[in-house]
Parts: sequence; structure tokens; C-alpha cells
Amino acid sequence: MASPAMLPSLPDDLISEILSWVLVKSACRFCCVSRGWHALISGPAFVATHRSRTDPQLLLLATSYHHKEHGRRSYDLQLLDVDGEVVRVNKSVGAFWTICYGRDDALVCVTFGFCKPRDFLVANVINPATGSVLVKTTELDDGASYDVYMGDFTVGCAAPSGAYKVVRLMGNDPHRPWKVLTLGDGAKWRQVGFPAATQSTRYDRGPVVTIAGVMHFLYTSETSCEDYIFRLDLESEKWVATLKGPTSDELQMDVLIKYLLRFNNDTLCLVQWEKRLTNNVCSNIWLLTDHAKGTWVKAYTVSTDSITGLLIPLRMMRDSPKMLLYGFIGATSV
Amino acid sequence: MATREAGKKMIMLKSPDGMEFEVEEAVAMESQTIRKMIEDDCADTAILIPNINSKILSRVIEYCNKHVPTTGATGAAASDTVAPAALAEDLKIWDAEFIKVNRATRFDLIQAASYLNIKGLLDLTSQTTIDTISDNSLEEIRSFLSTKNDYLPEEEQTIRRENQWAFQ
Repeated sequence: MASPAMLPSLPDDLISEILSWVLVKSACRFCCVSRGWHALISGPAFVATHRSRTDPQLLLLATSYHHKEHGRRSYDLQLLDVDGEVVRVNKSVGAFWTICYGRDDALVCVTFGFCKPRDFLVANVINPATGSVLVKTTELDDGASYDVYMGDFTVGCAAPSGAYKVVRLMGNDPHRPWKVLTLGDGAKWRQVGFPAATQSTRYDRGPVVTIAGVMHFLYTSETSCEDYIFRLDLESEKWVATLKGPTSDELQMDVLIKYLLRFNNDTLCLVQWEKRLTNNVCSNIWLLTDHAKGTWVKAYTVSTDSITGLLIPLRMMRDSPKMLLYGFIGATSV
Repeated sequence: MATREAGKKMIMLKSPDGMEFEVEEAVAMESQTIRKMIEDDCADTAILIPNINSKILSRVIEYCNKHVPTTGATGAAASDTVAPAALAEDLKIWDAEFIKVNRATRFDLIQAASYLNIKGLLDLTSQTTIDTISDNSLEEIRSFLSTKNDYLPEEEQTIRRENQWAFQ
């Protein structure tokens, strides 16, 4: 075997250039080559270059039960590509909980778990592309974790600070005001009171979406069937004016299911799946064109025949006004 | 500045071993380093390219010749009749042949591409290198890139255990 001294070697910046083309899985193996390579591959500059190199690809996140730590199950977070190949494993960071838009509109993943020895419910914020933990384990609940319902918690990113905040929804009871917690700052829950309109009538809770640091909660009045969107500014932790949902001028039998989405990164989008009297089923895609006035525009209507079931909006395609919808008989985009 | 062929500007490039290469200015300007020199008016006579021998410099010029955008009547190849996709495919095949060189030449090309700031060539050479070594053992990778394993045995064991999944 040739001795390394005999062969010409390359300066560090060119080694870095070469390594920037490496696939994520190989990069993890290359960390074992030397301390220098490990430091290089883990560095922020390398990660940034590497991300600019790789084609954006659809990635899936999965949770796997791994081993026992302190007698309790420990969960790994797996990142898979579209072929189902595992490209990264983050050990013992907890189970997948949700994704949200973080700083610079990059998607981050939030995991949850229980920390020993006190059994507190905890959360981590992770960059799924690099596996780095952005916000270390933060306690969400103090001990009485067994009756915690994860659906009562939502995560969003405040603007402009970029702090990740969890909102705990406490239902309709005015005596149990909603609470906010900043992940990673060590502070306790703070009360944010109650969205004003909820005190008079009962509401069904709908989906939640955060746009530009404002968390939007869709609620439907049980009595009038009207939609309301309560808005919480995550930075100031103050409620801003409630929006009224769009109303359809066509006769409809029933609005069955609603979704809230981000459209083009900054516009609130509401998708209704409704049954018309004419017996066809359609998905209405509404856009909030004026935040201040609360003006909704019905941008698209996707009619489907009766054999196609529910159309579920999966996500907005990045950087293009396309939405991926999932139907029971296939996927379609508008 | 020398001119030839219907007013096309020519540039003289000199390697440290005394060879001279006359190339079209547009071809030379594929290198951002040379472009800067020309734009700063530092290229009145010949440009000396330090550290790059004539063998490597001639290959670099060959690459730039192939990759210079084909505007005007460069050569006989009527590029306007060929679809861009076909042209790109043709370039890919040409690149793949071009980079079939031994390790020493590859390293010289990487260094030349970096010094002359030719992004396409740097991407091609480094990407090909990573493709070559990705499936090799750690020992082979160290040897290929002349990297010393400076982990203590127990350190290496730990880091290998942490990244065990990537070895499967």
C-alpha cells in the first residue's frame, strides 16, 4: 500500500469542497475518518454548502422504538427519502410530534418524550435536514403527564425573534385560560387569557396554522355554524382581532371538513370540503387577501365526482403556487 | 493585445514551465480569476499562471473551450440547430470522458480549477472524486485523500458506534 507521504495531498479548503458533495449517509460515515473531518462535517458552513448542493427532495419522518433507557422506551427519529431509504437517524430525541415553519421558513420537526426520573412531558426542536437539535429538551408538563393529550399543544415560531413557542389550548372554560411557553428559555407557562368571542357560545375546535409569527386557530360556532379564526401574535403573546371565516353564496348541504394552510408562505388559506345540493362534492380553496379587512377570495373550486372521496390538502409546494391534494383515488394538484 | 479571426480577442496564457497558449478571450474568461485580471486591465501582454504546469493548463483550456457558451459562429458546429437538452447531454458525456484521469492529474485539476475559479470544473472534479470514494472503506478513503486518522482507538470506537447505521 502506498504511504500517504508519497502521494500529493490537497489543502483543507479543497477537501471541504470535495466533501460538500457527499450524500448524508456517507457523511455520517466520513465523520469517522478523522477528528478534522468530523469537525468539518459538523460545522455550520459545511452544512449550509451541503444543503445548497443537494436537490430538495420529499422527505419522510418516522419514529422508531429503539432501546430502553432508565427502564423506559427511547425513541429515535428517522429521516427517509422518497425511496424509503433511511438517510439519517437521530437517537433518543423522542417521538415525532409535529412539523412547523421555523426561522427563515425552514421546516423544523418537533419531537416529544417523557423525561426520567420525574415523568415530565418534554419536547425537542430538530432540523430534519441536518439532524441538529435546535432547541434542547424543554419541559411541557409538570408531572401529571398521563392525561395529557398532545392535540392540546401546538407549536409555532414567533417573528421576528424566531423563538419556538408552544400554546396549550384549554378548551372553552374561561376559568382555564390558554397558556404559552417558550421552548428552551427555562421559563414557566404564561397565561394568554382567552380569545374574546369564545365566552358566549360553544365552538368546535379546528386546525391551527402559524403565518408570520401569528398563530391562527379555526373554530366553528356550534350554534350558528359560522367559522371564526382566532389569532395570537406569538411574539407579544397578545390576541389580535378575530377573523370571520368565508361564507359561500351557493346553496350547500353541508360543509364537512375544513383545513387551514399557508399559501405562498404568507397568505392564510382555508380549504372546505362541502357537499352541494346538486349532489356533487367540491373542495373550495379560499385565500385571505386582506388581513386587516378580513377579505376572503374563493381562489379555486375543485369539483369531484361522487366516487372520489375526501380531498385532503397535503401541503403547498415550495416556491410555487401549487397545492398537493390527496384524494382517496389518487393525488392531484391545482 | 493580439487579435485574430475577424476581431476575436485573443489572450496569451503562460505556464511556469515556459509554454504559451493563445486562447480566445471568451474562453479564458471562463476562469473568474482571469476574467478579473482582464477586467482590471492587468492582462495587456501574456498572463502567467503560477503553479499550473503546461500539461494541466492545456487540459483546463480544453475544458473551457468545450464549456464556453456558443454564441456567434464559433467553429463549424451549428449549435443553433441542436436542442439545448441534447447539447447538455452531450456535454455530460464529454465531461465524463474528460475526467477519466489518474488520481494525481485529478488532484492537479481540482487545484487548478480552484485557483482559476472555474466553478464548473471544480464541481465536476470534486463531485467525481466523492463518487469514487463514497463506497470505499475508511482506510481507503484516508489513503486516497492523504488524511491521517488522529482518533484514539477508544474515540474511534465511540464515533463508529454513534454512526453505526451509516455503515450498514
